[in-house]
Amino acid sequence: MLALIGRRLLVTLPLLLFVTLLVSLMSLLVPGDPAVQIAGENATHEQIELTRQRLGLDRPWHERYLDWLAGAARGDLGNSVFTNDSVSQLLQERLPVTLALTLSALVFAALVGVPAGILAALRRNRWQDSLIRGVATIGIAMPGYWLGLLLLMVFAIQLGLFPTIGYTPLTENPAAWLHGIVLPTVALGAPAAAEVARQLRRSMIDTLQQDFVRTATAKGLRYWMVLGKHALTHAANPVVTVLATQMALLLGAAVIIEKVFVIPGIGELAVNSVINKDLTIVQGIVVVTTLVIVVTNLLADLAHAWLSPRTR
Amino acid sequence: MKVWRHIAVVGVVALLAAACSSGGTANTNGNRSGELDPNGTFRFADTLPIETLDPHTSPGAGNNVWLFPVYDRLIHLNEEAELVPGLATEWQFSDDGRTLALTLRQGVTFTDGTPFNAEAVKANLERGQTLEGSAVAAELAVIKEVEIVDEYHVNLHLTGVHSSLPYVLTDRAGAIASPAAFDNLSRAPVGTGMYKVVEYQPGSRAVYERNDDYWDPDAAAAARMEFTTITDSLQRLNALRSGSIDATILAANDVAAAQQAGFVVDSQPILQFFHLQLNLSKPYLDDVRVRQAINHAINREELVQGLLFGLGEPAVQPFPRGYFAFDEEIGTDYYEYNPDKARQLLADAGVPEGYELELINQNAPQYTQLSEAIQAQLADVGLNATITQSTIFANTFYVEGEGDAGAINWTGRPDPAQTIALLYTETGFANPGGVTTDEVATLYEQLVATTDEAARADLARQLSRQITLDALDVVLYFPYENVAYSDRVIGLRPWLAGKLEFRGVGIAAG
Repeated sequence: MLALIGRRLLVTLPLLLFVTLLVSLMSLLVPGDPAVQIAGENATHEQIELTRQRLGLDRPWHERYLDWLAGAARGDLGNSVFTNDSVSQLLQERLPVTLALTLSALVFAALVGVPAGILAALRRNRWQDSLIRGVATIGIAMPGYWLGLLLLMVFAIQLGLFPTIGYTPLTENPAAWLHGIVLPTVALGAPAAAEVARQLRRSMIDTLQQDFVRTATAKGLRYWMVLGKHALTHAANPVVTVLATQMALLLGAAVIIEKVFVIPGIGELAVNSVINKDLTIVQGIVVVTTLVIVVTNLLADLAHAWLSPRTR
Repeated sequence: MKVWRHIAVVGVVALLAAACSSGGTANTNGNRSGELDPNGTFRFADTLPIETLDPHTSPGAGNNVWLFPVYDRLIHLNEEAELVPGLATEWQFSDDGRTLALTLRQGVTFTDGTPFNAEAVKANLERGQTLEGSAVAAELAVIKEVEIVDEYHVNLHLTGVHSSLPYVLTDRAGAIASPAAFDNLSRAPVGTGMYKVVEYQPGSRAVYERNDDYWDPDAAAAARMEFTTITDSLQRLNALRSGSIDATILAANDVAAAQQAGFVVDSQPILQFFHLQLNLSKPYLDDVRVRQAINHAINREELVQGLLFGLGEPAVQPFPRGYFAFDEEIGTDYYEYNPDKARQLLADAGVPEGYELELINQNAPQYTQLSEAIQAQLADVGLNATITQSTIFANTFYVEGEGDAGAINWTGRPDPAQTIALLYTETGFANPGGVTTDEVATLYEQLVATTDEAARADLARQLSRQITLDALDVVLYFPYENVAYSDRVIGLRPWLAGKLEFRGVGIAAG
C-alpha cells in the first residue's frame, strides 16, 4: 500500500512539469495581446507598450515559463496578469466551490447509480431492468447544459421549487447552499449515475454467475449474505474505476454547469482566464486540477486494493 | 415490458412539452403604492465579470456599476450625462484655462473614519498618475501639479488647456478612495460612497450595505444591495423570473418575454453606438465619396428591425438624439438609404465593380450577425465584402491595422471630446488608419482649448456635424439599453451615460 502511494507520488512531479510545459507551448499558438485590454480603454500606444514591459509579456516564453516554475516550486503560483490578484488566493476561493459541486455529483451518482444497478441486475430482463437501462441511456446521451437548462425551466421557473442562481456560500447558510446545489448536482451527476448503474449491473450479473457464488449458495449461505459480502465487493471494483474516471469528466463538465447555474467555481475562472489569455491563472488551474485527478486515481487504486482480497 | 417503454417515451415528451412552453406566471401584483421599505435589499445582475474593486486599475468603464456605489468621484454625471457636484461642490477654470480650481465638500469622512480633504484628493490623483498598473494614468497625465490651497480647496495645474478634465474626473480617474486603504483597494475598497462593500467574491458577486453617514441621505434608498454577474442574457431573464434578482439588463431578443412575464422594461438610448469603422489609410477609403457611398448603401432601419427587434435608433452621428452634442440639422438620416446614389458615388470615385473590402469581425454572435447583414447590403451596391473573424478585434483592427473596415460598438465616454479624440483624431487609439480631415482636427484643437461650457457644447455639435459631413465613420445605430425590473423596484431610472447608478433606488414595502 505504501509502495503504491510512493510510486504514485514520484510520477506526479514529472506529470505536472509535462502538463504545465504543454500549456505554456499551447499558449504560444493563441494570438492576441492581453496588454491591450489591461492598459485600459483610453490608453495610448506607448502605454500599451509600457504595460507589456511591466508584465513581462515581451520576454521569450521559456524565460517566462522558467520564472513561473521557480516560483511554483516555492509554492508561489504567481499573480493574475489582469488583476494582479494572487493566483493561490483565487484558487483557494474557487476550488472548494467546484470540489463541493463535483463531490455532490459523485455522491449523487453513487446514491442513484448503485441501487439502480443492483436492482437492474437482480431483476434482469424484467421491466425494472428495462426501465433503468432506458433512463440510463437517456442520461448518458443528454448534453449536460441541456439537462441543466431543462431542470431550470421546469423546477426553478415553472414550479419555483429551486433558485436559478445555484450558489450561496456554505459558510453563509448551509441550508441555502444545499437548496441551490440540488439542480446543478443532478444535471452534473446524471450521466455519471447512468454510467455507474450500467457498469454495476453488468459486473453484478457477471459476478452472480461465477462459480464461487454458486458454491456459496450451495453451501447454504443466505442469499443476502452472498449478495452483500461476495457479489457486491467483487462487482464494486469496476464501479470504483468508473467513479474515478467520472471524476475527471465531472471536473470538465462542471465548467458548463457552473455557467448555466452561475456558480463561482474553477470552471468559470478557467473559461474567463483562457478568453483573457491570463496565462498565470490558467497554469495555476492546470496544476490544481492535475493534482485533484492524481489524488482521485490514487484513492481509487487504494480502494481496489482494499476490495480485492487477492491483492491485499 | 413494451408498454413501459412506450409510457416512458410519452412521459419524457410530456416533460419536454411542459418545459418548452412559454412559461412564468405573470406578476399580477397590481400597482405598488410606492411606499419605500427602508430595510429593503435590492438585487441586481450585471452583464460583465467584476475584475477588481480598485478604481484606478480597473481597465474599463464596464465595472463602474460596481465601483460607483462605494467611491464618489470629484464630479458626478446626472441621468442626462451632465456635470453635477460630487465631492467637489464647485469647479472653475482659470482665465488662461491652465488651472482648474476645485472647492471640496465639507464634513465628509471615508467609511474607515479618515477625513476627506484636500490631502486625500492630492493623494488619490497622484496615485492614479503613478501607481504601477494604473489604467487612468493617461487621462491624469494632463495634471502637472496638485496644489493644496487649504483644507477644502485644491488647484490642479495643467500642462496646457484641457477642457475635458471635469468630465474625466466623473469617471474612475476622479474616484476618491481612503488613503489609509490604498494597499488593498482591489479587495477591500474604502470610499466616501453611499454604500460600503461587506462581501466580495472576485469575478462574480458583491454585497453592499448602506453608509449611514453619507452626505446625501436619500441616495441609498435600499439598505442593502446584492450584485451578481450573469453573462448570458437569457439566464438573467431566468433569474428575474424565478425571483433571484430584482433588476437587470437584457438583450433585445429577451425583452418581449420579460414584458410577457410582467416585468417593467425601460428601453432607452445611451451613449453606446454601433458603427462600421473605416480604415482611411486603405485604398479608396481615403476618398470621401467612397465613404459617403458606403453610408448610403446601409439600410439602418433594416438593421435595427432585424437585429434589435426595433429596440434601437438608426443614426449617422456619433452622439444620440437628446444629448447636447447632437446636431439637430444633420439629424439621424443625413445619409438616407439610397443604393443608386451609392453606386453613382462609387463609380465617380473610380471603384471597380465587385471591389473587395475586408471586414474584420469580433468573433461573437452579435457582431457576426451585424457583419453578415452589412455584407449583404454592400453586395447590393457592387462592393464585395469578405469577413475575417478575429477573437481579438482591438488588436487586429487597431494595433495590427489589418482589414479595411470593422463593425464594432463604441461604449461612449463621459466627454464628447474623449470619443472624438479616440475615434477621429490622428493619434486616437481607436482610429485604425490614424487619418482625419483638417477641418475635424482644427475643430478638435479648439474644443480642448475652450473651457466655457456653453461654447464647448457648441463646438462638440459642430464636430459631430463635420465628422458626419466628412463621413469619417459609418455610424449605424444606437441600441437601447433594456433595463428590466420587477414592480417591487422603486426609483430605477435610465442613465444616458450608460453605466447605471442606483441613487434613490429601493424596494417597495409590503
